Order: sequence, then C-alpha cells, then structure tokens
Amino acid sequence: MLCQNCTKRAATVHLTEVVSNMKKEIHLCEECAQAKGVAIKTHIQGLEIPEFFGQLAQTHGQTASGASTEAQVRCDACGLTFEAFRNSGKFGCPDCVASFKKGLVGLVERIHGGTQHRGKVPNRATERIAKQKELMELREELKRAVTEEAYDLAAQLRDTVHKLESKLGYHTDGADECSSCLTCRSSRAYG
Amino acid sequence: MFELSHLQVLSGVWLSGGGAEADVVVSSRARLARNVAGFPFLTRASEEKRAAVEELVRASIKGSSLRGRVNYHDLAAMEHVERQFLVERHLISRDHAFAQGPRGVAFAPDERISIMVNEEDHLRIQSLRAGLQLREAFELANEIDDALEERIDYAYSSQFGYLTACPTNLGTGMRVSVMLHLPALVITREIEKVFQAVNKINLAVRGLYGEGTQASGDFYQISNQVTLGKTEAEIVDNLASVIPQIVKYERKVRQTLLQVKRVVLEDKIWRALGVLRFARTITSEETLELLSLVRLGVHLTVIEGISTSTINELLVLSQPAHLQKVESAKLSSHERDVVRARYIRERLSKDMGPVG
Repeated sequence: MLCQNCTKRAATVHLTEVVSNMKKEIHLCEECAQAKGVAIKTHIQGLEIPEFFGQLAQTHGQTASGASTEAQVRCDACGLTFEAFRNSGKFGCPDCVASFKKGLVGLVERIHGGTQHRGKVPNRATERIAKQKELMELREELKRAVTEEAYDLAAQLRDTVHKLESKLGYHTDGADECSSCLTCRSSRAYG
Repeated sequence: MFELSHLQVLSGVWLSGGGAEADVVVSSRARLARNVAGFPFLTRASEEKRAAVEELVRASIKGSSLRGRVNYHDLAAMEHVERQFLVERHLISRDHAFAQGPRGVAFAPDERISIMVNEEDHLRIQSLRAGLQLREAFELANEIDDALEERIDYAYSSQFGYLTACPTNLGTGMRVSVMLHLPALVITREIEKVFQAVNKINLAVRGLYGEGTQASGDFYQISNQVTLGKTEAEIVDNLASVIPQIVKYERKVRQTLLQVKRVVLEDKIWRALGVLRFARTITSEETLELLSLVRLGVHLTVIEGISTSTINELLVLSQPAHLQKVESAKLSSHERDVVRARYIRERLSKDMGPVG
C-alpha cells in the first residue's frame, strides 16, 4: 500500500481515527507521518519494538558522531553492543542495563515516563543492602581501631569484615585473600 | 504422551463464570517477569546456559514451599498438540509453546497459578482469576514470587528494578490485565472510543491470547504498559479504576440496544444459539462469534437455562487441541469442525435439555 500523502513510498504507519462517529483509516509512510507530526504514542501498538526503538533513536537522535560512539558501547558481561540492543529491542543479560545506562535512561523514560523503580524490592536485596550498610560501619570501626592502635580489636574486626565480604561475594574463587580487596590489602599492611 | 487428561474435563477456576462483574469481565490476570542473576537472557544464552537456567529454576520450584501446589512439565519433551492445549488453557503463551530449547511450565491443578520457565524471561509467574479480581490476582502472583525468591537470586537493580529481557518490562516486571467481553460496544462501534481513551492513559488493548494476537469474538484484553516508576499497587489501582467505567459503558449500550432494537438483537442471539444447537460442522472462528452472542443473551436474560461457566467452558474446550484430546486422535481440520459441532450440541443439551 502506498502512502496516501506522498503516494511514493510504502505506507508503514496505519492510523485509525474516529471523527464524528465515522471511522477513518489513514495510511502514511514514516517520513510523511513524522512530517505531519503524528505522535509516536498513538501508533506504538502497531509497531514492532525494534521499529519503535529505531524511530525513537531517529526522532530523539543525538549528533551523528555522538550516536555512533554510543552505539559501539559494549556490555562487558555478554558482549552485546548498544546498537545491537537498539535494533533488537532486547537486552542480552542483566548487566546490559548498567553497561548501557547512559543511552538507556532517556529510552526508559520515554517508555515508562519514569527512570526510578518504586516497586517491590526482593527480600534478598533488602538483606544485601542491610549487609552492605553493616559492612561500611564495620570498616569505619576497623579504621578507628587501627588509628587508636587497638590491634586485638582490629584483628577481630578484620575477620568479621572479611567474613561479611565473603558472604556478599566480594572474595571471588573462594580465595582467602584477593589483590583487589581493600581489607585483604590493609590486613597485609598491618599484618 | 503426556498425562494432561485430568485437565480435559476440569476447567480452571478462572472459567467458573464467577467473580465480580462477570457479565463483562471474564477473567483477571497478573504476571511477573523475573530473571536469574548471573545468567544471560535467552536471546544470548547458549543451549547449555538455557538448560542450566531451566534446571536451576525447576529445582528451585520443587525445593520451595510451592512443592505440592504446582506440577512441573517439561515443554521440550511435550508433543505439539499438548503444548497447543496449554495455550488454549492460557497456561502458557503461544511463543512459549512453539519456541525451541529447554523450557517448562509449572502450574496448579486449579489453574490459578502458572510459572513459565525460559519464556522471554527466565521466569514468568502468572495468576488467573475469574471476573474482576485484579488485586487478588496480583496478591497470588506476589506470594508465588516471594516463595521462589527464597530459592532464586533475581537479577535486580535499585534504579531499574527487576531486570528483564525487554526494556518495556523493567521495574516491577508486572503486567496486569483483564479479559473483557464487549459485544455491545463492538456492534455499535463505540469500541473505538474505548480504545482511544484507554490508550491515552497508557493502557494497551490486545486480543484473546495476549501479545501479538488479534482480538476476536468481541473479547479484548486490557493491560498496563508502564511497569517502571510506579508501585505494583499503583499499577493495579490504575487499571482497576478504569475497568468499572468500561463495564458500565458496555452495560448501558446493551440496555440501549435492547430498548431500541430488541427484536433485531434477540434475533441475532437466538439464531446464534440455533446454529450452535443444530450445526453439523462448525469452525472455531464461527464458534467464537456465536458463543459471544449467546453469552450476551445469557447476561441479558434473553436466553435462560445456560450458565456462564458452560459458555466459558465451550470457549476453551471447542478449540483444536482440546477437541483432539477429547477424541484422543489427531484430526484434520474438517474432522475437527464435525467433532466441534457435535461436542457443542451435546454440551448445550446437557444444560438446556435435548432438542426437538
């Protein structure tokens, strides 16, 4: 079907309007639809997700160079590029959200009208957040104990901190010490 | 062949025809999308990873407090007709039925709960209730979610909430929907106004079998689109606040039709019933169309002696996979139409007494 406006390109945007109880169908190509300022929201339903994202990228397009560097951003965990995500409309893994955060926030806002989750928090996440808070407090105490040269207390605290960190998965591969971990390094320092 | 025979006769409680506003609201549904932390989503997952997710989730379901409440079925090992059967029952989605690779579903015998494993997301928890019971549907799905969460580490971020394969599900991962029967609004073409109003407040309209399906036989599904930035309660309330208005509108138009065009409407309804009671061959499309009219007739008390649950049952049991299960045979499309017509005649005679 040809676009009813330019009669040159294929109509890909199909609108149904009801004007004074008469149903009217309008078929436009993407260019004419955009030129006529057809709000995306009114035809989201007829669009496949990838098309939808493609359009968003167009309508809200960044400068060409900015867009291309952003498109090349790759998820560390699964290797998906932002561009591939935009084309398919699907993330590759749970880490994509963090990897693509810069380009994603605007997109999420356009889909949902918000960018901050306000709903349910998994109990386990609550537990984890509480543990992280506890860890931070313990680290402060440890620092204080070291400054005050209370080494017995410091040693105890260090073990507690280490245990908690292991629980939170900070010490990978079950190693007793790890080079990237502050506690392990500082424990070596006063060791 | 897989043992699903107990489902043939027993319809899910959501088909009971009960629940609030049952003349217009067929059922309420809540579904939660969840993923296991540390695993890629299905589009980027190798066969091994998919199998690992399936195994982990299956073991978690069996090890959780849901043990005994739900039964787990391996979809990859199931025959085509069995999977189609579960789709017709709304226990799994079409995509899930006809996808490839390790995947499964756990559901309760009363069909109020189903947990799809390796659909678009690692887990899709859904709860179905009869009539308008959105809050109840949400609470049940939420309870299942709590039980599973004790065993499964979900992918979650404090900013984007539950992490899902598609950005349209981020946040709560929740889609709540109601299935509405809107014949009067369709006949009078007022339905377009409803669609427009509903779209304006960010709700989506879909067909009988959810995403990507055409609405047919005057049955429509209305659901939330926004899943992030609002609490679950707000999303449920938003949808729940709109439905009574649509219900009221449909009822008003039904009454107007009765007043203005009683004979025409009654004629349509009685002819529909006539065809269903006497036809010797009938397609599923025609069945859906006629059952919709009969359902309307029952709720306008034009027709007496048939219950809503009978109609709901016919809607499900007259579909291809169900007929083949009833007959325990693979049927050609023509054979199905013959069996369908016979089944409908017999079922209606049970309620209304034999004809002629």
